[in-house]
Amino acid sequence: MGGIGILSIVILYMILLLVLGIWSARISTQGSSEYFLGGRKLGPWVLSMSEKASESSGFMTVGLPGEAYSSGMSAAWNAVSSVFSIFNWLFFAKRIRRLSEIQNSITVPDFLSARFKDDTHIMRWVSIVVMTIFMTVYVCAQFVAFGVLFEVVLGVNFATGVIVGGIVTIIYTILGGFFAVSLTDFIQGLLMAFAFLVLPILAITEIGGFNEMGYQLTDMMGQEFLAPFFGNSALTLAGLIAIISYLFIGIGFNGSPHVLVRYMALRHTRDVKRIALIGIIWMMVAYYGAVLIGLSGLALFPDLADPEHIFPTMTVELFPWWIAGIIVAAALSAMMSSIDSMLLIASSTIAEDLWNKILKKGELREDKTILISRIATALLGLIAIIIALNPLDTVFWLAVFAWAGLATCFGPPIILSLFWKGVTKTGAIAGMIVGPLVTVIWYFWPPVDIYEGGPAFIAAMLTIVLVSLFTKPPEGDDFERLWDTYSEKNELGRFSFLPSDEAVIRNLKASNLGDRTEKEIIMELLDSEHKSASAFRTN
Amino acid sequence: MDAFPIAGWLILIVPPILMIGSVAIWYAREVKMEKLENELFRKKYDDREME
Repeated sequence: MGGIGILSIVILYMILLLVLGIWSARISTQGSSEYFLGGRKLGPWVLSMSEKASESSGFMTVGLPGEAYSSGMSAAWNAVSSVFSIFNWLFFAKRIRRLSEIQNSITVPDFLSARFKDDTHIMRWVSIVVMTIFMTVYVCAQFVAFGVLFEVVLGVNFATGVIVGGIVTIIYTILGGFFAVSLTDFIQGLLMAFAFLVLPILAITEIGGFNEMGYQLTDMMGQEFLAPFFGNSALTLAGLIAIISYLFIGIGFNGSPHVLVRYMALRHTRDVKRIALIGIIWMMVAYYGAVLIGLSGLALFPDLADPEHIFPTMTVELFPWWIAGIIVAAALSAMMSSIDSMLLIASSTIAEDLWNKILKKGELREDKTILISRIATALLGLIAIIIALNPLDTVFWLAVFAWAGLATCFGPPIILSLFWKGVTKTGAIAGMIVGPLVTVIWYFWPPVDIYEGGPAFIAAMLTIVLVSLFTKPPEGDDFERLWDTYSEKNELGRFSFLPSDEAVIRNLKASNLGDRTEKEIIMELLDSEHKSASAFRTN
Repeated sequence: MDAFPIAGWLILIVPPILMIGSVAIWYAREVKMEKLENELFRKKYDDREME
């Protein structure tokens, strides 16, 4: 029953995703904003789970447990890198949402082009090239993880796993757009939290407790395996470099377009705080869960040939088939949620930025834009499937390489453009090219054995600042008006209200603000899911 | 307790407390500021209605 039972649950889960895609299609076909940003109607729970699930990928279920299995407690530095996600919520998310509403931007390249008044479309071209290359690599890493999971758990051939999983994901992304992607990500995020919570608890119980796990691992690997210093019992220079390397992986949170676009899709800026709280709790459960899966897995199954097989092996060996089926579905979720987001972002860039804005000068009908996006999704997905059948590297390193390429292209110009009026178009473009270029050079020919994302991010930042200081700053009435509106503050020293914020507060006013307690006011504000109609519309 | 080295325990316990704690404190501050913003908006809204 085991194998067939698990397979049945996985098939049912995939059917559920397809149904969600078809159901979401009625919303996503209403217009470009609906297809690419879900009409900015998604609440904080859905967006938060969606943000986390799409960030996580096969890295969490195959890569990180495998890394903990082979390098021990040092893998926990990945969890510490979550601090970069906190920077997003506290410093960048509201500003991105605010500027995107003022500029009417619906994609990340759209956002950059509008901010820098890039009529030459160089920025869009750089975005399209970088997104297409690195997202294909990233999606490829997920398909490889798919194949591993199918092979280990279901005994299905690696290639079949890649092809079946890939095609289902492509179909529901094509049908449902951002709305379907976010809804499925929500389910996937919950499933993943369940898996990362339950699997280590069960494994540690099976071992005989947390301390027993520690003793067993110390006997097997020595006590330095349980110290977070990469094979040493105290911090060494090599250990410090490795720690910095792991922390740099977190920089990806600040620049990945599929993460940043979720802030553009917020109903209003007040949702950010709730997204942050849900997000950080999810991250701690998931990241530490993944590390503990690797550690407990080593104590239980010390002879695995491939450390990246530990998550699926534990699932099959420790759980009855029906729970194993749910957890395998959760693991598939981690990959699918990244694939769908990546495909949607890359295809939206091709449809909206290349086809509509560059080739058709913004005159393309919205239904045609959506159609082109769907065709691009199918093509990119198929290319990634073909490459995934012969992978270049492990899931862990393929994923973090692509993660770095994307983050270093988009993170530095977006972050600087939110805080510094003087960033120039030339500076931003130079940074967008230098970041991915340094990533690739560092990946293939590293001068120091440190994760390529860190030096590339710093190089891109420095390039933007230096070039901006020596080139003509942005000017003109349009830009001044844009910056004044964006940076306008109210009497409390916070950003002035946007139409979307005013709509929320006006709803409170309409429901008799004065007679309510503070708690009632806030709860109403937070829960007013469908009352907060945004004034934002794309042209 | 001695099953893990001190550094092992620290990395398991300290980062989650610091990260969840910092976001929770920020959340509370945001809620407080939004309440003030609501009052500010109400005042402006009432002023506009008076005109």
